[in-house]
Amino acid sequence: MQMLFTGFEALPVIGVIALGLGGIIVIQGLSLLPQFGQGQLIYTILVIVITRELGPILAAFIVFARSGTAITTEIGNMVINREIEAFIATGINPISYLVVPRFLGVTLSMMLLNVYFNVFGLLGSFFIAQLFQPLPFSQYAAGLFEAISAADLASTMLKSLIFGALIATVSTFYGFRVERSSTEIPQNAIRSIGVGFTLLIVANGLLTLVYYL
Amino acid sequence: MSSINTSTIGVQACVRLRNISVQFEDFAALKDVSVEFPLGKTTLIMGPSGCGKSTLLKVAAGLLPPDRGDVEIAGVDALRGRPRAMSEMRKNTGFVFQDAGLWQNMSLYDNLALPLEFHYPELAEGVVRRDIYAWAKRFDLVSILPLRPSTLSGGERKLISFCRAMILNPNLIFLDEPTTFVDRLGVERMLSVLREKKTAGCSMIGVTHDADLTSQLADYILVMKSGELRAFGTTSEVAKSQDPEVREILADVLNEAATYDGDILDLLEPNGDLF
Repeated sequence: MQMLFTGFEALPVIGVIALGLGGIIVIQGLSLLPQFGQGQLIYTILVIVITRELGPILAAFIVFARSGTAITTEIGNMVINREIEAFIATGINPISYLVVPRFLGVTLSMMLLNVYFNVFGLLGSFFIAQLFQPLPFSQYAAGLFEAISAADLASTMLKSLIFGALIATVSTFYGFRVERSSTEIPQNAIRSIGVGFTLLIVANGLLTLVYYL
Repeated sequence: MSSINTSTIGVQACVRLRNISVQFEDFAALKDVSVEFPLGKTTLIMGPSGCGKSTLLKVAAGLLPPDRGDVEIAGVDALRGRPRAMSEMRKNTGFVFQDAGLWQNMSLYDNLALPLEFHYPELAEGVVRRDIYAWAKRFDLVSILPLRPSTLSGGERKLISFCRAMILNPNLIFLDEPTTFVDRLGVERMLSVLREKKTAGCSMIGVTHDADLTSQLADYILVMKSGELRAFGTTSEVAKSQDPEVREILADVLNEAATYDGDILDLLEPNGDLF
């Protein structure tokens, strides 16, 4: 259920953003790089921007904005409605019952959405490139495969794994921080998104640093 | 700490609270409360609104960790107990919430099924269904089982919460204002179940303002004011208390115009004027 909500329902917005981003990179790259005789660098830039950097972080921002806040709000409401106390009274650990499925669902969805973002971003750039510099798909694909390395793929997947874990942890944590009043729910949702985005940016920076070590 | 005798000497305890303090921001909800709730007996907690009754009940049920103090439920340390011991203890306890506490994203059927499926995963679906329908039938709730809690009245929610608390056949029951919002027939049905539980030797700890519930169930009464215990003892002992504050609280709580000269025992016994 969490994967349906976090993953499947986010596909349209992720697809549009990925296509747009890929298109922008190609438009800018193809208009500037050939002037310096570096037209081939477009593939490297695509891989760096879409696969290694913006793909995971943008997908993470979207997942946090949609599902992270939803999770904080849902759990906050459960606290106010005494549903969490009812789980404890029944002997059901709310962490196992509520947090673990959300953690797994969000983390797995984040990784799959990152793959989806990459596919759409790189495909989108191909279609936009046709407008400026028509080239066969085989040539485009060969250029991309030459530019992309196993380290790039490992980096993007590791980032999406860590970002997914961060989103699930922060959003559930702030949901459980709601104590008594329903006004605490939006307050904690706002806090979770502020803290979550900051942590995502810091984690992204650290992982990028590790990549270059 | 309160100077009143809070131990039931010679009587085994189902729940022991030692030096419990609970603070909500600047407000002290419970102030160094120690009490032992007798095993196999019904103890009702009484006091004016906001005196800490529900807080005490939730601490006693292990739902609210106190800021200070120890909680022992059925011999298990409720704050530091091992998960397996805690799970076993929970299997034998039921809690009726003041505001029902139903799981909103589940149907009423699933609200009743989850405790059974969680604690008895080996039970066949048919057995679970039979148990649920037996409880729902007893309270005339069968037709609403597929619905979600948000579509129900407060009384119906309360009855489902009651059924959920009873579905595991607990021997320790916590009741937080169980009859509020419930119509007369529903209250009668609840009382019938609780009387059966009492006869079967279940321990019950409750918060109520309901004179019927008090007169029919209470073995012990605990009177609270401003987060402190003011009296604790058998129904007769407390009802005969000469402490004017205790008498005033009892009269107020039971919603009767008892005077200091009146015998409050009359309010608590079925053969009194009220019954």
